[in-house]
Amino acid sequence: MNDHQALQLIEAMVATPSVSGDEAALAQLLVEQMHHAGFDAHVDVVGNAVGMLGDAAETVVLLGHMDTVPGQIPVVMRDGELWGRGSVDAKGSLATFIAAAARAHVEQRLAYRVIVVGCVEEEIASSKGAHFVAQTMAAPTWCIVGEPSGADRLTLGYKGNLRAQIRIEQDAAHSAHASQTAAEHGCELWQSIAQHANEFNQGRERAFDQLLPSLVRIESGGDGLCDWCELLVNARLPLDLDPAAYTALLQQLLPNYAHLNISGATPAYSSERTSSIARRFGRVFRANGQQPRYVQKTGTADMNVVGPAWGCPVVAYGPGDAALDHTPHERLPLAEYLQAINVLTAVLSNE
Amino acid sequence: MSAQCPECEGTIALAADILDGEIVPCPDCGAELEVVSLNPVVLELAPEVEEDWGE
Amino acid sequence: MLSVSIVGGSGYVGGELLRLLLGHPHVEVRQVTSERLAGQYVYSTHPNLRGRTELRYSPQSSLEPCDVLILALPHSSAAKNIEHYAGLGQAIIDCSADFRLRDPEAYSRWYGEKHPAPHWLERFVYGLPELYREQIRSTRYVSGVGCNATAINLALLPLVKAGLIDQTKPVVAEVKVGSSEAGAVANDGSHHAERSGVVRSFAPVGHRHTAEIMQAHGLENVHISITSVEMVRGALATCHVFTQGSVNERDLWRAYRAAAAEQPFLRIVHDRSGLHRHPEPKILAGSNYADIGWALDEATGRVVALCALDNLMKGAAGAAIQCLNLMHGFEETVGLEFTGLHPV
Repeated sequence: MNDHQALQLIEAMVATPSVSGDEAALAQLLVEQMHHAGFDAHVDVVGNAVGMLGDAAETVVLLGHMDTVPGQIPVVMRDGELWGRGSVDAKGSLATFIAAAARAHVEQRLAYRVIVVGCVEEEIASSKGAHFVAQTMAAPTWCIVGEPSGADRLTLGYKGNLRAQIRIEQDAAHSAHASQTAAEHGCELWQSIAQHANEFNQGRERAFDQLLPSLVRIESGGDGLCDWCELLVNARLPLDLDPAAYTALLQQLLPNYAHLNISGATPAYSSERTSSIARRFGRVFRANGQQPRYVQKTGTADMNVVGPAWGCPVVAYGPGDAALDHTPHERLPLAEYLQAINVLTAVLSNE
Repeated sequence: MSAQCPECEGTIALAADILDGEIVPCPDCGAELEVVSLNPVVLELAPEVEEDWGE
Repeated sequence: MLSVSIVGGSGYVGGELLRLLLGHPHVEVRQVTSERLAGQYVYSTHPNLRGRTELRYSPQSSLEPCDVLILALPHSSAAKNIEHYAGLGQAIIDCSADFRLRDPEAYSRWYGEKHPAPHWLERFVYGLPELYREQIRSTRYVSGVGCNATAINLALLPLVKAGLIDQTKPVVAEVKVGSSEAGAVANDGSHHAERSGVVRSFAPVGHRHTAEIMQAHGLENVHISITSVEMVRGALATCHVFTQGSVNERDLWRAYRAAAAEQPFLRIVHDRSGLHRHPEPKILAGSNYADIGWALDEATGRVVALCALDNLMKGAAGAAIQCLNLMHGFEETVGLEFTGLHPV
């Protein structure tokens, strides 16, 4: 796939809306485009677009996502940048996967059997597409997740995440009485969660290694008989604190009349800087005259789903500035997109 | 087999089966070094892992 | 076996000399003197030596001839009786300050009195093997070293040897020291309630060890301060030096490697990360190592030269045994192999 065709691909993808749950049109487009580029492609039972290319012994999975958050941004090309929802998060990465695999294949230097997957529902808590792939596909040699790292950088890991709803209920009392209200108990509880995190983080300098809880929402009310306070806490978890362990810690912090409901739990995941795939990227960056750069991120991605399931090295790569994700300013510099295709083509090729 | 640390010029003893891309610490200055070529062995300062907020 | 006697063995340096010599494979400790404690077992004052020796303190009047006499006496006692001691010991190692300076004028300036035996000064070699190894090998008389002076001398050694110091600017050194440096005799300042937890500017100016640094390195513009801190053993020298011309990390690595080469007790500590990036006296207690390192401020050309050691070991008794080994053709490190404790 030459640069011209690669540009046509990303433009067509960004121009096809694909908010989470509504990815079918884009899946159809991708299957057609992959067929055209020589892939054996289909839409799987959950709606993921899947394409296979090459017949080498070792398999690699390039796992992107098709869906975007809502919010249409007019699709225009301006000053070498393609504006549009999903251009950075993460159609640029998925298009890079297809273009790079196709190019290495055409140039007869594809070193792997490549499976490109465009997942559904990455942007909502279900991660339905990635969970289906993790459960049904055999573990590959390694996997690249399609998220913007910047064309000159490789993402090694993402933090874990825990979403906890905490509800306190107590008998209603007149506010003239000295007893603490449910709202006060809720505030105290948040203070103790924050305090615990501070203590946990002693000596941990990097945000990636820290426990970072945030209070997303706090509400209280009553019906005359019962007063209640409800907290929604979202915690970003380091590698050494999995969701079950943090849930157990929260249980210890809660008073016995509080009720805890976990609505989302994802463990942190990171590959070694010395893993085979990270080293391969490092050699390509160096061959291009760039000092290799590696990053760990505080967010959570489909890497956190497939990494623990497969146990193989997983990294994330793709063009664009992740700071533009989910913003009205989302745009992809096309020169960087083409550079990412070059880098990935070399990574997928015989050395 | 040995190589020189690009940071402090110390001598680093290397295993015969060292891999391209392997990270070796300098015994003198503690720098993390990456093997960037094998024949001859060339070491460069390994980039530190950055961190970013967000996805 | 080499017969060795210790004169003035009840102090902390005496205790360390004895501990080291009892473990030395080529030495037999003949006598240890103390007027006050004559007749008592040496482990009554050095409790760590219980079960290691049945030696008892002798009075000086009963001292017998021996191969090596090590003097660990209060200031000026050795100089006043040096002829007598020289008649008893084939070789003498004097741990006091009496024979450290070559110039009698410098002695009167820093010690405030005329030297009692000035003609003996030139017969002694300053007992710092890192600077005077060959002279020590071929002499019968070696002086001890000042513990603070040694910390500073070894901190500065690589920079002096490499000619990196801008001598038009002052060299300022600060040494933080533990309480054992003040000796085994209690005073008002060592009362626990007064000493515990202090950061005491003990000698902000005018410390006598300045003379040993000027002599060792030929530096004129050098200024030292001593601070007592919450530690029993140990000294950390922090020396501020401005370089001539621009100097980078690699220049300093070269200078430090050149200085530490062939020096069995000098170790370079200059790590990029982790807890132990710089020399630290805590882990050297009981060992004869001097750990040296630096930090460079390239923008201003300031090098902070560091040296950590155990004041009773490399700063006193350990250095004396190192000299004894050199004087008698033994392996320099014999009897000094202990590597310190961690954690401690």
